This record gives sequence, structure tokens and C-alpha cells, in this order.
Amino acid sequence: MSTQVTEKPLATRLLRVIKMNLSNPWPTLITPWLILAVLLTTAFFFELWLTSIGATGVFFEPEQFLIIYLLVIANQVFLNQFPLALSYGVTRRDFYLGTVLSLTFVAFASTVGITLVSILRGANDLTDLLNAAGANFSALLASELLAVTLTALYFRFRNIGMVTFFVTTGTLMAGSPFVVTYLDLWDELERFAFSSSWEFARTVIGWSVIALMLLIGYGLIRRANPQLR
Amino acid sequence: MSKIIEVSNLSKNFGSLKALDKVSFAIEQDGIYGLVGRNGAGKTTLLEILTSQTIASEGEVTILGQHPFENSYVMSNIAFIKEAQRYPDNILPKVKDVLGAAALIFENWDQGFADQLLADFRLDLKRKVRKLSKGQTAALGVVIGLASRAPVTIFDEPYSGMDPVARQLFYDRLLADYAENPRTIIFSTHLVDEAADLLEHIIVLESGRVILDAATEDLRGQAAVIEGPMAKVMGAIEKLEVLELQEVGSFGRAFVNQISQSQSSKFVSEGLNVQPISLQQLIISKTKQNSNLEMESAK
Amino acid sequence: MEDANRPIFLQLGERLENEIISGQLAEDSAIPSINELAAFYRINPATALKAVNLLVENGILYKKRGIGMFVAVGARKQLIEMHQKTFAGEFIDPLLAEGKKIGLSVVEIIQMIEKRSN
Repeated sequence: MSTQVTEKPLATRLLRVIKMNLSNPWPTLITPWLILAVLLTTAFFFELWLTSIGATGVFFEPEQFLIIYLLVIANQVFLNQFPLALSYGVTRRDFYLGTVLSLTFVAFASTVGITLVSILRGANDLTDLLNAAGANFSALLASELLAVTLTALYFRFRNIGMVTFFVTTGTLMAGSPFVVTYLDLWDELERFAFSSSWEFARTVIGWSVIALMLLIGYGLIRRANPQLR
Repeated sequence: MSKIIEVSNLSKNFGSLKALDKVSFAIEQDGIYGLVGRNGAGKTTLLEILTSQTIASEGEVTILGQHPFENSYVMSNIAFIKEAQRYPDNILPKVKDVLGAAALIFENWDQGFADQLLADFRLDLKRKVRKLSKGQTAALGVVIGLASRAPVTIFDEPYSGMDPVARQLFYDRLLADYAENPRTIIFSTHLVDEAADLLEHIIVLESGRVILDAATEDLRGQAAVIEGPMAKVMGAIEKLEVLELQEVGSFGRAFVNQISQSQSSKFVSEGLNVQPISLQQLIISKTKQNSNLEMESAK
Repeated sequence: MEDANRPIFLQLGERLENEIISGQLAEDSAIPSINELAAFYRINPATALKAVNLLVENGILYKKRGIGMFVAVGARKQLIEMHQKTFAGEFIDPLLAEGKKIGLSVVEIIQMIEKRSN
């Protein structure tokens, strides 16, 4: 018979999924920077003009664009590749882990790009650069994982999942100010937001949310049906 | 020969609809199997469960002796080519991207064979998958399925949209490559007679149940149609399993499941017309018989 | 294969027999491989193998290990004898039955045959 295939180690399998996702680097790694090149050039001349009339400040930051772009592209990668990968005989677990790693790589590469732009614009304080890079990396990754988790939710529960999510999130967002007002916590919140502990708390909360999304997405995809009809 | 796939009491419910109802069968290693049935008979659902795309409601599947679900050993031995497979338009836009991904994943991938098949089906590597016609998209699936050389290769209606020339090409390439590299190939189809010579074994699904599971060669020449005056036909079929009975005036026609050579000559000498029926006709008659039985049991 | 209703291995077997009788496949010469037969007739290789094995069992073909299948010496004579034996049942009986149905006597049929074969 045709040679029966033996199981390859996890690392090999994940690497294959990563290669599959990034084998065409255009949508994830090249196209966004072509768009950014145009946006940044425009911003550069706009800032020159601002300076000439006496105003100061940076008008446009690349991460503002990339956070949205990578949210969309992470959804595209997951939505499109999941059915194909499974029909090629990849397990859900391997696809999920491989795709998260692919997206982590994209977030990392994008962070490097953003840092290079900052350096070109004259930033030279290493500590500031590193702090900004850390914040950007986690923001980009969180954005991608939000898309991954939502796409996993879609594959698992389809439209019902989507509706439930958006209704719940909408209610929470609309309801939380009332809760804060009701509990009379505005002063506390303001004090906290301007304290030094906020910087630290933000990092902890950010990474906790990332870890939580990663776990939820994994839980959802394990029994999801890849068919797109 | 050993059993590569075993299915026992498999059921799948979508709400109150039973897409599969206690399906059991086994598939031997190395063979070309046909899964036949009408639209909605449960073919796609069954193939999706075998490839662990969908989860069964009840029952069990083992492939290579293990449960396939989330089993990377089993899954790396499977290729599943769906009817109307959607390809990732913007992530892997071109034919060469989709094939590149297949080459990465499938262990037994044969690039030379893939290139030859692409030329046979006149598929251009640089073409955008989105721009392919329905038949060309089907051909791309066929190329991937064949060149994967996966030990278990499953095609769900591989050639919907393919013209007769392309289908013939598919059969020819499948046979030639199967002869060189035997493996287990399962495909679902409506076109029984067209594919019959290729198939070693046929499994017929109807309303989520297996109504026929037999070697193709055993089915040939077994079933027959008996025609003649209704009274004589009725006499002849007394001890035979009748699949379908038709009547026009005093003239009758009976499709019977199995008839021996001696019975056949006896009927002919009595003045009846006895003809063997094609596989397609046998399956149609079986399917009708099954739905008649179902209607009766529902009463 | 041409007849959708009879087992393919029998049909393939008959084809090979006819080729041996007509001399197209000479005695002691190799026949096409199973894979070649399967590809040429567009049939499953298992079916082709079944046809060939049947001929091997009947002593029409023999296997040379590692080389392939060959036509046995004396196969042509054996086949002709076999076909002569079955000739009456396969061809004369239906002829007589049809003749009887339309009222032709055996003598009349013989006369017709003689006339035809001149």
C-alpha cells in the first residue's frame, strides 16, 4: 500500500501550519507596510506643515492602523485556513496552536517595524523604545487574539454565538457606567488611573486578557465544525 | 487484507432529523470504494464524520485502529476533498499557493505527479483560485487528492461541474496511479454506471441507512428484470425478492434482487423476457424498495 | 467494458481467450501486466487480477515469478476445444428456440444455414 504515515513531532506539525499560513507573506507581512508607507509619507508632510505654522506633535502612529489591520487579517487567516487545513488532515489543536504562533510572529514582526519607524522619526531613548515595543506587541497580539477567539466562537456556535457575544458585550459596555455610578466609584477610578500602580496593573490585565482569550479560543475550537456553507 | 476503517452504529441527528441512523460497515485496506445515494441520503455527513470534520451523535468510528477525532496520527493519513471546497481566496490566492500548502502538509505528496495532473487538467499555477470555473475548482481538488497519495483518500462528489472529458481523465489517472500506489480511496457519487468499473465495492445510503454494501462484481448479473403477461410474471416472482413491480394493462415488469441461471432459463422457456439490469437500475430499484418499506412501516 | 450487466472479470477473461484463439496473443508470450490491463480497460486492478487468476487456474496462463503472466503452451488448443463444447449450448439452443417460436422446422433451419454459408 501507499506508505502509511507515522506521526510527526508536535514542533514539526506546528511549523508546517505556520509555513502554510505565511507561505504567501503578502496579506500578513507586506501589504500592511505598503499601505503604511503611503500613510506615513502623508503624515510626514502633514507634520512638516503643522511645524511650519508653529504647531507640534505627531499626527499619525503606525500602530493605530496595524491594530485594526491585524484584527481583520487574523480573522481572515483563521476563517479561510481552518477548513482547508482540516481537509488536509491537520487536527484542530495543531491548527489552532500553529495559527496562534503564526499570528504571534506577525505581531512581533509588526512591532519591530513600528520601532524602526519610531527610530527613523528620531526616537533614541532605549528604555522608551523598549517600553513602547512591549506595549505595542501586547496590543497587536490582543487584537489578533480577539479576532481568533471570535472566529473560534463563530466556528463553534455560528450566528447564535456571534449574536450572544455582541449582545453581552454591548450590555456590559452600556451598563458599566451605571454600575460605577451606582456604587459611587468614579473618584476611586480616577485616583487609580493617575496612580503609578495603573501602569503595572495595565500590563497585568492586558496579559491576563490575552491568556484568557487564548484559552477560550482553544476550548471553542476543539469541537468546532470547519464547514463554511 | 485488514480493515482500515470500521464504523459501527453511527448516528447523527440534526434536531429531529436523523441524517445517519445506526450506520455500520467496514472498509478493507487498499481498494476503491463508492459511496452512493441520493441527495440528502447522508453521504456528506458520513464522510465528514469519518474525517472528523463533524462529531457523531452516537456510535463509533475507528481508522487504522484508532479514533480519528483530534488524532494527529490518524488525520495525517487522511486527505478529504470536498465538493465545492472553498479555498482561502486572500490568504492563498493562487493555484500554486493552494498546492504549496498541500505539499507542506501531506507526507506522501508527489510534486511531479501534481505537475503532470495540472497539465492534464490544464490548470495554470498562476491562476487565481477565485477565478476558476466550477469544473476547474473541482479539478484542483482532484489534483490535490490524487497527488496527496494519502493512505486514506476521500472524495466527496469530486467531479461536480467537471465535463465528461475531465471526468474520464480523473478515472484514468486515478486507476493508473492506484495501480502503482495502492491505497484506500473512497468517493461519493451519483454516477454509478460511469464509475462502476472502477469501484471494487459499493455502499449505498438511503435516508441515513446502509441499504446495500457489496462487492461490485457480486452485484453484476445478479439482479434481473422479468417482463411478460402480468399473470405469468406474478407466478415467476413468487419465490423471488421483488424490488419493484410495474404494470401496464395486462403487461407486467418485475425487478428482482437475485436470480439464478436455471431460474432464468426456465422463465425464458415459459415465454417470459428476462434481462439482467444495470448497477444504476439495481440501486434505483433498491432505493425505491427501501422507501416503500419505510412508508409501510410508518403507516 | 461493453456489457454493463455481466461480471467484468468474466468479460475480460473472454477477451483474453479470444485473443489467444485468434493468435494475437501467441503461446509462450507475455500478456500485458495487471496494471496495464486495468488502465487500458478502465477497470479496477483487483478485477483484472481476478480475470487473470481465473485463466491461471484453468491452465491457460502461467506465472513466471518476477516477470509476469505468459500464455501456456497448448492453451490455444485447449480453448478451442472448450469453446467447441459450449458452442451448442450457447449458439444452437437459442437458434432452435427462436426457430420453434416462429414455426421453422429443424430441417428448414439446416437448409438456411447451408444456403448462408455458401
